Amino acid sequence: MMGWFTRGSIRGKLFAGVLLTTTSALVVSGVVMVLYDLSDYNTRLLQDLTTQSRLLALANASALQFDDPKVAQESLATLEARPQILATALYNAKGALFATYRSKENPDESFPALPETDNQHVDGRQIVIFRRIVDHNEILGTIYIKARYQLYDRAWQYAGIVLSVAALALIVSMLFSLWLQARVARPILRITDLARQISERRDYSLRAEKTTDDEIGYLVDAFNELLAQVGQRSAELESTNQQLQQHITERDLAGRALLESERRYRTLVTALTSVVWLADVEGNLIDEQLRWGEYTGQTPAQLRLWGWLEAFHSDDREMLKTAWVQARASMQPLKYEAQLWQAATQTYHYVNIGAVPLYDEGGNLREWIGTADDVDERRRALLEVQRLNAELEQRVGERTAELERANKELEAFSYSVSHDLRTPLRAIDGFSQALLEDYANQLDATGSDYLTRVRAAAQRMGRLIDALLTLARVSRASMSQERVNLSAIAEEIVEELRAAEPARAADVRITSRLSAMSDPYLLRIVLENLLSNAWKYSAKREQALIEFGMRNQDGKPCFFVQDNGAGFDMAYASKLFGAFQRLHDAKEFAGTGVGLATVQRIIHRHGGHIWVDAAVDKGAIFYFTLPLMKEAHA
Amino acid sequence: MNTRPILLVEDNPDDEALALRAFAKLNISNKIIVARDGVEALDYLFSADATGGISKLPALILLDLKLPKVDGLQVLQQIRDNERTQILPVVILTSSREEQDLVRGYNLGANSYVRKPVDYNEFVNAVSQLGIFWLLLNELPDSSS
Repeated sequence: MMGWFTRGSIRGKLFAGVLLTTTSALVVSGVVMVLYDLSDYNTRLLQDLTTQSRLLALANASALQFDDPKVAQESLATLEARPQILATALYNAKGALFATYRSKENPDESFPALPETDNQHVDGRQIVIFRRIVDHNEILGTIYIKARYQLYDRAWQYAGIVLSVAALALIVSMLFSLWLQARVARPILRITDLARQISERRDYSLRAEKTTDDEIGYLVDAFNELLAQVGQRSAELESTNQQLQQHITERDLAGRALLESERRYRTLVTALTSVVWLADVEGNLIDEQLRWGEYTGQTPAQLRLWGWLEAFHSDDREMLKTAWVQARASMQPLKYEAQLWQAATQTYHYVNIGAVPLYDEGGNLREWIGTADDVDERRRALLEVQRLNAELEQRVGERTAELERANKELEAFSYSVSHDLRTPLRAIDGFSQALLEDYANQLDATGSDYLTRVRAAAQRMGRLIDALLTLARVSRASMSQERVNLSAIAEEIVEELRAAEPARAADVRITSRLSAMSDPYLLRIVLENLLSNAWKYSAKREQALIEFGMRNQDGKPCFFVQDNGAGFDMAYASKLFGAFQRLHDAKEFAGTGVGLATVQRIIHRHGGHIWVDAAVDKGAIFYFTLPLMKEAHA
Repeated sequence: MNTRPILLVEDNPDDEALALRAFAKLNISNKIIVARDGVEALDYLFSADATGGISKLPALILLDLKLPKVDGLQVLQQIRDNERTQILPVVILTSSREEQDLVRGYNLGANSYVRKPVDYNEFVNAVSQLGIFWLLLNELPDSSS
């Protein structure tokens, strides 16, 4: 019972309380009322029957005295008006039946044979009374009354009434209880429900609804306020928790970073070729200097105070000491080059000494960390490089001067050739012509022919000299770099060729807008040579075809000049670009043999290539490349 | 036709003879004065000043560049520096086809630059055209004629 009471819902408890109260009140009052009523009935019935018997005794005393049973019989018959009396008998003083009465419902009543003394007793649903009839202390007889005893019926009747009332009262009380629940229990239940939700969802923003101003209203207010506080506390706690978590994470990371950094530092120190050393705040080298000891062979004891200075060359000690003292005083990094004893090779090596002050978080000097880089080899290599450079520069200077001298000589030579070699040729040609004209009548045909040959030879030599001069100039002339419209130049050259030989019908095709970064003057020489060659060697074709264009050869773009002329045997192709190399005899095709050498030199000076493809009687194709070739489409 | 003389500055006797022959062939009747080096040329031009014969100033100067004593470019410079001679037509007639000579010649105020060809017929052609232009067609201001 207690268990259920602590566990059960308030709704159930309220219901049970009301029912229990109602039922117990009903039961107690019902029982008391029934008991009282029954005892009252019993008393009143006895009194009534006693009074009836007295009355009967009074009425029949004389009939007994006078032994008149008839009168007595009549008197008893009046009892008919009282239906609850079932039977009555009168006994005389001797105890014999004197007169009797039986009610109509009870005709078979048998009377006891002998009367008894005054008494009454209940026999089932009947009560029996014996009363003596006394007159002046003389017993006249005895009266016997048997009546209905209705106590049990009454008891059942009452019980029924009580139960009905109880049932009605219970229904009323249940209704009342429901009303009570609505007024009292529901708000509480709502709070309970809310509390469950909050505990499940941890949502402290929920609030209970206040419906009454009584204790429950107060409870709702208190609950809400409590919720608000809990919510606030919870949020604070959450944020503190998060901060704490973050702190922990940061600390964790910092710890890991520290470990990593330390590991890295250790690895670095062991992997470095430099000697790493540490000095305390005072600037004294810390005893345990693993790398320093390894390098110099000094023991920790030898390092103390200025002991480490002994590892340096005596020439450097004073200056290094001064530098170190200054660095410590000014807290500025130290940088110094000195010779340090290397135990392994038993020699002094040049090292770069560096040291930087290390500060703690408060900005106070903690220690010095220093390095000693062995730069001996580097220094030696550098000196060697410097020496070689100087030597090279001198040699280049000498060579340049030589070249300049040679160039000047060549220029003078060219000038001289240009001027002086041509002068006699002019005389030879001019006077031969004078002879032919002024002395024609004194010369026979052979003489004239000889003079004509002399003139032709002189003129060829003049052209040769010009070609050679061009070749020389091409090699040393300064070059400009500009975008040159090669197609336009080619058109001009072809115009000139056509003008020189108007009778020739040649199909010349020039792709328009071909250009390259080059020197326009030199490129004119190139195109002049190539196009006039094509023009010349295709002279004997009925349908001469000359083409200048751009195409891909072996995947690379290049320019080409093609003709369908005499061509040549590719076996001699290697000789083609040498000076004075000719593949055709002069009678067939005139030429100096210098033109293609000049062309090749110009192309090479531009960083390009030139090559040829040809076959005898099939014509020739000259390919060449130049910087930034372009075929612009109009 | 301008009848004043032509001054030919030429040190090579072969070239001189060929030039004279060309003038003769072309029927150029002007008197040809030959100077065989730069000094002679300058003497002719500036001593003429001393004797006062204005008519002796040449109608045309044919100037070789490579000359003994004073070279052609120096002669040209002095001609252009002198007020009296500065407008005289000067044609450089030389074997050299060095770019630098060409440029310097024009910079100093040469009126033409003709390279002597090896082919004599071409030379005659060139002289003929020079003669036609400078002696027949070209006009100078009155003060100098």
